[in-house]
Amino acid sequence: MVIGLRERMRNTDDVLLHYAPLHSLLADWGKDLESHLSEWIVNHPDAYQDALKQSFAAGCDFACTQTQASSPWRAEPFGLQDRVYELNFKSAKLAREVTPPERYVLGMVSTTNPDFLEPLGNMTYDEVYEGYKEQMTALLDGGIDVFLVVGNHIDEGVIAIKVAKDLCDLPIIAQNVFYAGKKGFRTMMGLDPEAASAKLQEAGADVIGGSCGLMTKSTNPSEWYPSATKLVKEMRRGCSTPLSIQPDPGIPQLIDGKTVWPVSPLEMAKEVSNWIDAGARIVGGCCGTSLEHYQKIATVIRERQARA
Amino acid sequence: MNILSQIAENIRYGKFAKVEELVREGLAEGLGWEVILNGGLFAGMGVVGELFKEEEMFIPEVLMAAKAMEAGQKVLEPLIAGTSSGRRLGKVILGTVKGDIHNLGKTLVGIMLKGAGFEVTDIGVDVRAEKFVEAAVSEKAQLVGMSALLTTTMPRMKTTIEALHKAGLKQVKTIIGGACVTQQYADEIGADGYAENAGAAVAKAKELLGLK
Repeated sequence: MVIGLRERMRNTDDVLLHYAPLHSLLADWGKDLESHLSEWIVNHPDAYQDALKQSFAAGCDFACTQTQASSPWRAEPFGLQDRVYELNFKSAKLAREVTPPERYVLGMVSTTNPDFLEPLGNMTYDEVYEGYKEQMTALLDGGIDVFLVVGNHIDEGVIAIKVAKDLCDLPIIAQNVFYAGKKGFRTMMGLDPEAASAKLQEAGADVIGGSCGLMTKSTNPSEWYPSATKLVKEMRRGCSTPLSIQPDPGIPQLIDGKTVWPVSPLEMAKEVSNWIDAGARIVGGCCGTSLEHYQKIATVIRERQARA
Repeated sequence: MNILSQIAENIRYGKFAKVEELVREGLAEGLGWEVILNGGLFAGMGVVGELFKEEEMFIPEVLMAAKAMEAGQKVLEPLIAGTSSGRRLGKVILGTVKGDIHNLGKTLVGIMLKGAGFEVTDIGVDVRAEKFVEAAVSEKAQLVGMSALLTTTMPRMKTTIEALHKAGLKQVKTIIGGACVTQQYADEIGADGYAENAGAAVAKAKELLGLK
């Protein structure tokens, strides 16, 4: 029998690997900047499934639907507002088709960008709720195993968690994006990791984490991933759920027209055990993390598990 | 506390109804619109800009402060319209370059520039170079601000600057920003200025337009 993610998090010490930056990997298959991510995926199903297969081969445990831009709000500027159900449903179905047993399809939702929930913006609670409901229903129908709620504005994330709970009993991974500021880590809205994690636990998330963002203002690569360890420890203070962490490999630089991320796979592999010791059970990287980074950290995880 | 300080204080705390009421009160007491605008509304936003730069305030408070400033400005608008002295510090076009849909950084820059007295036209996200040129011409802008969050879209800022120059708008100053943008990159692509954050954008914009 296939063991569900929630049970696995509760009853085993397994550490799972999440390939977060699949969207940037898709550039290797010709994904351009202009097209909408989900529309591109639906039009290039083989490319999307090949990328997922490669990430599984590198040791990853999740196939993400990459539907962060497929809420009604974010589809609308692309003229895709009438295709929200279709794009989310098809992305989930494509991911489902290539996901092996004991691995999971992650249905991703993100912030309401470019507008905000009132009073900051003009969107009402009901609008946000109904928007997430449309998207999350389609992801469910497409066959996902777990929801991934990611964003800058936690009040919107809390609504997405509520929608997930109203619709089904699937587990929910909820992640904040953190930035290193003068007073330490903060979300874009100014919450520290402890307060942000506590709020997501209260909303009912099963796994709580941090992703993307600028982990440190230091340009010294050797300080980058240790800074993520510090973030995991701070999130631990705010909640008791399993944690997840997916930092970027540094601040990207444009060198001779090419995007270069400064922190190496080796640097990442050196630090992963510290993330796990601090409470991380789902690990990975964000934008710019290569499959090579993943192969290296998959090896670290395997070695740990062999020793246990 | 006098009424101008009260207006500034209530802007800082995003109390838009209170700001609106105080602006009316100020006018009734005989204060000129210019005094209220500069000494109350812009003074309040100046504090907000500083606190944001120091990370004492975050985006939610800034957005609420901006709403409060707008509420106050709405009251003054009929008085400002039609006066020659209603001209602001300068006209700015703001947009996120083609291929990039990130909105927030640019919006914050717009809030801070407006709060300092610039006239700002925000032409949105995913903006083609030609559209920047069109807007700069039709608005008779002195400054064009470009944003890009992604390294993959940063080169579009160069394309836009080239398009402005090609259209004979070399006198229009350019300023760029975004998470991965650096001063070095600004120099490389011939941008006149770079700002690390929305607070710094105000000082840079003033410097570029010789308004120090």
